[in-house]
Amino acid sequence: MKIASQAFLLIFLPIGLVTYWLILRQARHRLIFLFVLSMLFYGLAAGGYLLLLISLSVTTYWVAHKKWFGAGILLNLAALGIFKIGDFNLEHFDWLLDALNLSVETSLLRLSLPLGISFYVFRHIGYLLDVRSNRYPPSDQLLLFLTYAAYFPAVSAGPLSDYRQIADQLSNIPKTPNTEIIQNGLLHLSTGLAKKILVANTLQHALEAGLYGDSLSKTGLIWAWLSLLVFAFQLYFDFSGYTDMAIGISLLFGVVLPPNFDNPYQATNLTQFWQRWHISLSSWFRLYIYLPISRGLLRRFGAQHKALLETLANLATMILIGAWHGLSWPYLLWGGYHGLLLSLRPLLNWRILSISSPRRLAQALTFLAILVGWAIFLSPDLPFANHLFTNLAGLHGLGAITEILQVYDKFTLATLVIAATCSASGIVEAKNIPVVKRPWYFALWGTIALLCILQLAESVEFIYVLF
Amino acid sequence: MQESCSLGKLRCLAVRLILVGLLTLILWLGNKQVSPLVSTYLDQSTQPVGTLSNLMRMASTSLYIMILLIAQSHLWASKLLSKARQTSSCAGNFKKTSSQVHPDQLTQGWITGLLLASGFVASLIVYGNPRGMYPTHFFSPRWLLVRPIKIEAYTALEKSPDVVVLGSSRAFTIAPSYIYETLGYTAFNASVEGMLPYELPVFFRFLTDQRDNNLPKVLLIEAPPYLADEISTQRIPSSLLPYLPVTETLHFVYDRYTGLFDLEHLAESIFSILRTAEANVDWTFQEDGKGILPPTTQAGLNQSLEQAIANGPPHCQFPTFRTQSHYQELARLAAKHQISLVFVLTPYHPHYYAAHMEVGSPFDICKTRAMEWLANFAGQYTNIWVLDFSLLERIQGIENEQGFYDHQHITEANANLLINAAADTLRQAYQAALDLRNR
Repeated sequence: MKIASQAFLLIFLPIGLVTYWLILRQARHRLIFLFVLSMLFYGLAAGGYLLLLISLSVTTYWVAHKKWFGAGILLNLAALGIFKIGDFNLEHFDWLLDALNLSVETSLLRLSLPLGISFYVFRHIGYLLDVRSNRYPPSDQLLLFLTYAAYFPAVSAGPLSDYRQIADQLSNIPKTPNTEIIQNGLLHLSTGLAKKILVANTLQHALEAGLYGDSLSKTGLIWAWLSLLVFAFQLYFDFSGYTDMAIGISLLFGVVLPPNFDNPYQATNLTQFWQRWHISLSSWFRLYIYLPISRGLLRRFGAQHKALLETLANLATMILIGAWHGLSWPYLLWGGYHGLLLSLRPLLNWRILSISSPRRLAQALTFLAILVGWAIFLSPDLPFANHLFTNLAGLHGLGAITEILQVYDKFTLATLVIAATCSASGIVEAKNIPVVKRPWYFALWGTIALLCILQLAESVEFIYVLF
Repeated sequence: MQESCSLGKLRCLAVRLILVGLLTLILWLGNKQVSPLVSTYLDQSTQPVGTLSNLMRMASTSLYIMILLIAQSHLWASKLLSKARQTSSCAGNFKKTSSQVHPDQLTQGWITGLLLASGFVASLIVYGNPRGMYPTHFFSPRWLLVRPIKIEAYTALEKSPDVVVLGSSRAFTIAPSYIYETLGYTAFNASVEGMLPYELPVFFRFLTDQRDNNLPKVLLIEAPPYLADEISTQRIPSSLLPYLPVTETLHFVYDRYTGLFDLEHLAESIFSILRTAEANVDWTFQEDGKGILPPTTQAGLNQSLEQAIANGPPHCQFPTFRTQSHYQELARLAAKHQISLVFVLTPYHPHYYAAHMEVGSPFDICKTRAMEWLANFAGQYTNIWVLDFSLLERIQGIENEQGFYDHQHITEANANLLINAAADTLRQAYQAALDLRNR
């Protein structure tokens, strides 16, 4: 089961909401019901991996009480590592194996990645680190902790949230729903569906033929940049659409999740981009990886090498973010690329990427830098990357417009223009869409939600669920 | 001041009435003018249903943009209006400002929009009923729906036949009359389009429920074990509901519920309504269940083969646990009712076979494993046989348009040759069933 599926939206969610608000009256019963819903959702979505989620969560809860933080973190990382590496193909390291004269089976365990493991492991680790640093005491309610860890709107692909933020809300579920929160939830859900189904899916279908299908036969500057733009907006609308849906569904149950996107393509520099893109993940890495590494390095080597040490911390953090997406060269290079660019500002005082430049120019240059990063990110292998970059540089000519229009038809191009315009205007985020407090306006959003549900049968999986 | 306020209100009312009138006129004109245009456009389109669904996708995207524009315009208008209110003497006379709309009304508005749109879409789908999933029959279904035809015909039989043919459209042309001529056994062809493994026990229960004391002796089953492990109940008629296990019954209800929220289904429905479309089928069926298709030409067969070869080999997978459980259930029912089972693979056209199924090809490797499983499975029972006639030469069949309609559908001529080749096994199976009953 996925949150963008008919089974979820037409059966699971309506029954869940009716039971939650109309049948159950006590806060405790509602908490238990949320836990049951979360278990049911995860079980239907991931099958036997539900046991892994439960056992890791129970273990994390227990080690927090025992103050065995190191063991808890290692256990969670080991679980994540096994599944990430199990999906990793040692062919990426053929050159090293040849140099060492080693002959090793190049495909290891080939385990499928459990749904949401990257996210719930990070929730566990964040919890353990917070308890260790006395931000809050360890939870004394196993049910509350399990519900937080497996909370179904966010279990697949976030947003990541602080334990205390969610636990406070789960402990104080109101008797009657807050109307403003419900309205907000409905708008988020409708917006998320529209972004995912009407925009992201259209662009994804175009990419399958235009970028990935027989891609090495396609050439031209126009093809390369167009494909990159389509990818950039497909990824953004897909992931932000999912996040809006997750936030909206959670709001319908009265629980507020943190935002995950804030018009990232309007950023005027890369630091700002990472404050606006996948906010919960980048905040998590900043808080639990970057700050400890940079503080540790500064303590060890002193403040006289501050710029260099921060560069190292940036590089390490961003490469880890890349590795989190997948243990393959494109993701690692992408992480390194962003780490390097983030470090360039303090290192070189490169004004052209600073906020003091004209805003639109800064946004354009930042967007260009982001696009180059996406070109690395989307390449499945080095030959593809080489082919794409040589075309981006125009080394194979402009390309034939007629051929390009065969793969990117007028509807796709129109959708791309819509996506770009919405991004540029800032109206793409659900929280930024002006609310017309009229019933007919909400009725229109209800209609859009239905039109999106009609197209769910051919929907493509949310891309970040795959990480 | 009072007068100018009244004039303002009248003006508002007049504007609203004019807008409503314009909208009504547009809808009426649209219906009168646009429907024929849409019909003509669809006539000229090679894939009209696809065109319709694409149009609806575009309309959905346009509505999304329109809503964003409305929201943005409203924001600008509100800013202008709040400035105007500060200077206007009619400020107190403005009726429903946004702050005076009850919050619950907004949620109700969303739900109303969703329900109205859902109701409209669901009504269109049920009215058009292009897939025959609902009990309305205003238009012919666009799919080939053979199950209700065969169920009705079988139920109308006075007596259970000795042999019942089950399976997919690949078995349509197996002639009960030829089985009777050759072997002296009465027969009925109960094969249906796209029969899936889970349907075998379902149809078995249906067949054995008809006449308690007089059951078929042999089931001749064309159902390769390497088929996809799907459970799709869209084509299952409600008359088979009593024979579905609980999980498939839930699937049945689920398919019909979600079928009301499917864009392709809606497009098919609109197409059926606009065009009063005829069923997209050529097959007709006799009372004994045998299927008849207009003969093809050699050129037509060649074209069909080219297309099929270009599309690649058929899907093949080793029988999953679920598929195996369906076969096991079938065997259990067969033992219980003392009925013999003869599994048969019908021939593929030799050109198609050579292109995708030759020894060592991926399909062949998969098929061989699946058939080995089936053979081992059959070996555990005394009343189950397996016949592999996927190679035309095994039935000494006809290769040209006299023997094939396309790469996998055989004519009655080849079906008769298949019966000849299977005759001995069918006799053994018949005798085995009699022996079981005489014990």
